[in-house]
Amino acid sequence: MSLAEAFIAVLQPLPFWVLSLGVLLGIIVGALPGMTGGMLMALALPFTYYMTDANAITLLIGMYVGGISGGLITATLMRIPGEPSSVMTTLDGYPLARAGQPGRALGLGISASVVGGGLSWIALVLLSPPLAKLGLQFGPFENFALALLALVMISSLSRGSFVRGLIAGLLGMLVGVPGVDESSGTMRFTFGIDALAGGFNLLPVILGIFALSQVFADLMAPDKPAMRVAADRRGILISLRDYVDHGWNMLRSGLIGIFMGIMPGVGASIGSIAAYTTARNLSKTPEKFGKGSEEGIVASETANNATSGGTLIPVITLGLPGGFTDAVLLAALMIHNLQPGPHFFANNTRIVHTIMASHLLAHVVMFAIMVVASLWIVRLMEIPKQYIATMVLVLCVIGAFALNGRLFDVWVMLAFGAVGLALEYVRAPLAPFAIGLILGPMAEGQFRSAMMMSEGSLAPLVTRPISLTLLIATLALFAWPFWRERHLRRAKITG
Amino acid sequence: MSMKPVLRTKGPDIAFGIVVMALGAVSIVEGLSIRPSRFDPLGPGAVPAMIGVALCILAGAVLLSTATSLRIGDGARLFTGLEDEAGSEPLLWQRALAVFVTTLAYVAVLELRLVGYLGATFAYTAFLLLVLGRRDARGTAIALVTAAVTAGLLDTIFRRLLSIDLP
Repeated sequence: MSLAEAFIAVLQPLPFWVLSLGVLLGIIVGALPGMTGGMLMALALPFTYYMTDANAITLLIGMYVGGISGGLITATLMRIPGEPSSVMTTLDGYPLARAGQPGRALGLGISASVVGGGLSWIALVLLSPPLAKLGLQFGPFENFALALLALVMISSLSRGSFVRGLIAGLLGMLVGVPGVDESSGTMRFTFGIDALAGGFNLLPVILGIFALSQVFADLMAPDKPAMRVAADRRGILISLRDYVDHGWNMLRSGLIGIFMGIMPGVGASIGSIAAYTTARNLSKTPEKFGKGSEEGIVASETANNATSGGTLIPVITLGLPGGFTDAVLLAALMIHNLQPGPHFFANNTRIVHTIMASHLLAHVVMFAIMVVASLWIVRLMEIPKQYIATMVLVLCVIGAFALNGRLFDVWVMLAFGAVGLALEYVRAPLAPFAIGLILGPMAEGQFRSAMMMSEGSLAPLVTRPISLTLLIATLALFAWPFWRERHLRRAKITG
Repeated sequence: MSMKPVLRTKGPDIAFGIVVMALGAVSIVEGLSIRPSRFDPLGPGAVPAMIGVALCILAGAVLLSTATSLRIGDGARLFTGLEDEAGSEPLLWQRALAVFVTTLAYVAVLELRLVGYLGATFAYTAFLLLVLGRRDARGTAIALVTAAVTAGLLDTIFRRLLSIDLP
C-alpha cells in the first residue's frame, strides 16, 4: 500500500471516525491534569484487540497527537499544564489570556501545534526510508548493541538519576524473563507459579506501572482550586500574516522538536523547553518572555508537537521506543502480531504508511476540534479529580482482566501499580522501565543468537563497524554522568 | 502561610538499594541454576544472571551514594528544566492507600466470586466516589447514579458487545 492509498484508507468513514475519536479523547485527556495521552493509550489497548491492526494504530496515533496538543488548553486558560509538555506554554499563554486575549493565545498555540506536527510529518516521511535501509544491514550483534544504546541513552537523558534510570531499565528487562524460554523451551523464573508459565503479559504490567501508579500519585497530591480565565473565541484563527511573522520561530522550534523527538528518552517536554529557551535567547524582545510573549507560546507548542513525528521515526524504522507512549504503540503492534524491529518498515509497508497518514490527518482533525471545542473542553476541568481517578481504576481492572479472562492479570497489574509508585517515590524514572520491558526480550534473543553465530565470542561486537559505533556511543553515554560529576567536583574544589 | 519543604529521609533510598540488590541476587542464583542447552552456549539463565550482576552493582552505587551523600551517576542532565521539584506540601498518603486497599478488596471479591462483576463494580465505584468526594445528599445521589451507569455500561460493553466472560 502506497502512502497515497493509506491516506485514502484512513479517510474512509470508519477509520476516520476512529481517528477523530482518538484525537478528541486525546485532547480531553491531554487537557486534564494528572492524565496523559500515554495513559489513555494504555487504557485503550484492551479495546484495540477487537479492531483491525490499521484501525488500532489509527486510534492510538489519534490519541497520541490529541494528548500532546490538549495540554495547551488548560495551560493557557488555567495555568495548569494538562501535559508536562505544555509547561512552557503556561509561562506566556496564561499571561496573554489574562491580558484580555485568550482567543489569540489559544489560536497561536493551536496553529503552532499544527505547523509543528506538519514539519515533523515531513521529517517522518523523508527520514524514515533511509534509516530503515540502514536498519536492514543490522544483524544480531548490531541489534543487541542498539538495544543497549537505547537503554543507556534513555537512562541518561530522562528525568531522575542515571543510576536509578539504569536500574529501572534492568528491572523492566527482568520482567520479561519469567516463563518459557523461547529458544530452549526451558521454564525459568516462575518460582512454582503456574500462571507465570506464559510470562507476564505486557498489558497488565503497562497498565499497572503507568496508569495505576499515576492515579495513586495524583490522589496523593493535595487538591488545589483552579482559576479559569473567562474566554471567548475571538482571535482563535490567526491570520496568514501571523504565520509569516512567526515563520522562522516555527521552523526553528519545529526542527528542535523533531531532533529531540528522535533521541530516545528526551521527548516533548524537553523539546518544548529547548525550543522556548532558544526562542528567548534569539528574540529581539526577550523581556516579554514570561509575560505573555507570542514567541514563547509559538516556540513551546511548535516543538512539543514536532516531537510526535520525530519520536515515531526510530519506532517504525528500528523498533526503538523513545518513551512510554512509544512503548504503548509498540505493545499495540505486538498485540496484532506485528514484530517491531529493523525489518518492520520493509515488511509492513501498509502499517507504516497508515501510521504516517494517521499522523498528518490527526493534526488536521486536532486543529478543527481545538478551534471549535477548546472552550467547551476546558469546562471538563470542573469534573472532580476523584471521578476521573475512579473511572481510570475501573477501566484498568477490566482492561487487565479482558486480556485473557483471568484475574491473575489484574493482581499483576495491582502489583506493578505499587512497583511504579515505589519507583517514582525513590526518583527512579519510569521511561527506562518501559524501554527495558519492550526491548529486553529482543535484546536477549539477539545476544544469544549472536553468541550462537560466533560460537561464544564477543569479538564481532567490536569488529563489525555498526555495532562498534553503537558500542562506543553507549560507552560514551555511560561514562558521561561520571565524567561530569568529576568535572563538577573539581570545579567546586578549585572555586 | 508558608509551608516548609518536605525533607526526604535516607530510609527509602536505603530500602530501594537493598530491595534491588536482593532482586539482583535472586536473579544470579536462579539464572545460574538453569543448565545451558547443547546448542546455546549461553543458555536461558545467562542473561538474567548478567542482569542480576548489573543490578547488584548499581544497587551498591545507590547504597554508597546514600550513605556517603556522594552524587553517583546524577550528573547526566544534558537538559535542565524537568528536575524533580522539592515537594513543598505533604502528600496525602492515606487517601492513596485507602483507594489501593479498596481496589485490592474489589479484586478479591471478584476472585472469590462473592458478588458478580456488575454488583461489585457498582459497590466499588460508589464507595470510592463517596469516600473521596462530597457526601451530602446531592453528592451521594451523583455518586450512586455514576456508579450504576459505569457498572452497567462496562458490563454491557465487555459482556455483551465483546463477549468476555466477566466474573
